[in-house]
Amino acid sequence: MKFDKITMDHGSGGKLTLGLIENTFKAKAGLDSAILGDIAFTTDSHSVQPLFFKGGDIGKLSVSGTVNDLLCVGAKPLYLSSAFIMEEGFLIKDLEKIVESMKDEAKKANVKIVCGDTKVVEAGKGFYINTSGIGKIIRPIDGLNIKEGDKIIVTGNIGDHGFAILNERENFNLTSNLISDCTELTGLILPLIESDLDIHWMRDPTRGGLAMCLNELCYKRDFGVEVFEELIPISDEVRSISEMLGIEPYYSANEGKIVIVANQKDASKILDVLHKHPLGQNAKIIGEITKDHPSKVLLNLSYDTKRLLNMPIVEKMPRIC
Amino acid sequence: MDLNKFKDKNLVLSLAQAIQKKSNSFGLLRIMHVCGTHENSIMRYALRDLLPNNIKLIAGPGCPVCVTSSRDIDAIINFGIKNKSKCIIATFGDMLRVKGSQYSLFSASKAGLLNVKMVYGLDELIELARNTKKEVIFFSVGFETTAAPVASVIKNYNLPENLSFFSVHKYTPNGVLELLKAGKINIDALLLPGHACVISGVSAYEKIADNFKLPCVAAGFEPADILSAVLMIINQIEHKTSKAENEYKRVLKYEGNKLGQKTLNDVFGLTDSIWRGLGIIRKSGFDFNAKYNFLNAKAKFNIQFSNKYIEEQKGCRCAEVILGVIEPTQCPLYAKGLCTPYNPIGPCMVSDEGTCRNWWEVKGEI
Amino acid sequence: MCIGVPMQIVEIYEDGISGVVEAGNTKKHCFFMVIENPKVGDYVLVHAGTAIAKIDEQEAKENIELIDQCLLGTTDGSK
Repeated sequence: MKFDKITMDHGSGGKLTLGLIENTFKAKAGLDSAILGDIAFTTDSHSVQPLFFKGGDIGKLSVSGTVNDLLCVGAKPLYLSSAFIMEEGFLIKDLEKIVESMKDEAKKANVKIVCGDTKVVEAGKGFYINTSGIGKIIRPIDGLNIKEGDKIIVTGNIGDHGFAILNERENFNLTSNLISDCTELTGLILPLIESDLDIHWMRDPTRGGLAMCLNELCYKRDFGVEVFEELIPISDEVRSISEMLGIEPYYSANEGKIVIVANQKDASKILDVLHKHPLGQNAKIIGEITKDHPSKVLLNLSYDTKRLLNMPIVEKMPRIC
Repeated sequence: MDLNKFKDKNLVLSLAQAIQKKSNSFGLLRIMHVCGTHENSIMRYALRDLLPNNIKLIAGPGCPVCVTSSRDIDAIINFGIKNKSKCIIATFGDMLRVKGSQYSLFSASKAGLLNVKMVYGLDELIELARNTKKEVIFFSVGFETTAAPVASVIKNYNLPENLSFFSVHKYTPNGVLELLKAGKINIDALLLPGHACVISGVSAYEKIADNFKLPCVAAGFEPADILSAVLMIINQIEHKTSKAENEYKRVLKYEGNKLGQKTLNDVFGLTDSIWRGLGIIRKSGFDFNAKYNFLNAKAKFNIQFSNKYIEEQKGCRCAEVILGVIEPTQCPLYAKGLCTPYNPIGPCMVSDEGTCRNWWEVKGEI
Repeated sequence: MCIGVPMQIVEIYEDGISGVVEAGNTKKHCFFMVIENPKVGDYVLVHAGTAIAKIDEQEAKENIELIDQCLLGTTDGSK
């Protein structure tokens, strides 16, 4: 598929984003961070709307997102940069709030924000933050040794962030306890990295949700993914909003969860570690790696049937019809 | 109330088994449903895989946004562009991406040409109008299920003066009836749309069941609902009857929602309407009665329609897909990967509910 | 074609035609202008922010019985 212009869908983290990476940037879609010897390096720009939401704000997100990306390759996050692009007229009071949450989140993750930049653009052009991060590789987790039978674990309920944000952004007037799961996961994941448990791959299922994450896991690989609908942890709130909006939770973004692929012999030990941490209490084994259908993600349904869980195509819109 | 029973694994599997057992007693059985949410459930639970090969579940013209004519879409977009400083076009999420001759509401709004706001419920629509000085025009899409709530708000609620409605509502029973009359559909039974029947009643389909000797069963949307309805159809065939039956008893009254029907008739009247890809269908659309015409955006703003509009791009076979004549994979645009959700050529690929889109999502690219 | 979600009425406003419905710990504004005698505690089917039908506990039971009859092959097209 050829495009001569960028569309909103190129930013949805789905298949079109992947197309840009491969066809325009001539790069390979890979891990959440680059592994450079014993250093991990990553970058992430944040354009969330609304800037302040239940469970966080763009500041918190800009720190947690980058910290989590570093963790995913087996690194201990150390330093972040921060760059602000701000529209004229943006309230200093709001900027202070955002900076405060960045500070808090960095403290929780035990990282230092060591350099930064500010640019001001014309009114109406929005507010964005880019953060880059450096971590020290404890052990590289690069996905190269993923093998058949490996178990797939998700560290908690899926879909919270996407639905929480959608509801607030579009004023759907749905009131629930649902809040964004936006958080840094150092406390949950670092102990796993520092253990000798046999972990083969990790990624945070952000834009495009769990569906995108699992598709990336087996993208152009000689194995596929088999997951079980009954095992995927989903809160009542998310399930109910998902029914109302006609959008499956698999496509809703997460900002405080990690998908882990691990040797099956260590899977239950990993679960034990996760369950002991407040952020990992709902961690579940949701499926496994298979050689049966390379590069494909199959969702096993309750009735002994299965279907393809496709890479998200365009951002899902709520439907009533 | 526990409604999980209708998803129960054992129940669903025994229904599937019962269907399998009976499947030797008849040849090919083509059951058409006319509801995007049915198609969605069928795909989501892979129900076709539970059925024997000689039962075909065909997705008929059941997606109101897919059958919305380019003529209407062009008209609202052109009006929105000309009056950008003065108005906001509101509509449901599924309507946004459906392309007219050139733009969809989504693409035109992202190009900065007009103001568009997605709403999910009618309360938001009213709130939107209350909070702006601009004119808010609701591009009001949907079958009778949606038309009745819209009518009820129009009739009973104190609406802000800057709110008006551009009705593209359609009436399912007459749409299906006319298509059958025209001999455009070749099927053995109808799975009736449970939620549309909540308003119209199953009774609205008695004529179809009688005149065309078609077993008709209104079904809910859980797996057990759909499979039971298939069994009820098989049982009718075994008894050589053709009646309009109700499987969805917990929600649906056989005669429909009388209050809803009355409200609908007070506000709207049936009019001839263009169904995209299918042409003009007699008395199949809802338009304002004189009493409420002051809320009719088409009249209020004298909205212009052009007769130069493109319903179907070259090569698109959506009309045949909608009628169940071909499956999406038999359309060359689909098969060659030319019509995809990124670049939907036909309306069936646009909406999440469209048949081609549903197939693409679940079966993947060819 | 139409998404409808079973929800429970938890509040009816003074106007008698609008209120709040809930399912799965999620609350939503809802209009009650096409159902008769809405009462707090009633289960309704919500479409586009409007309750379009009541869902009756007894009828839900009968619905299951109907499905059981389907399994036995004893439905024959009677209403």
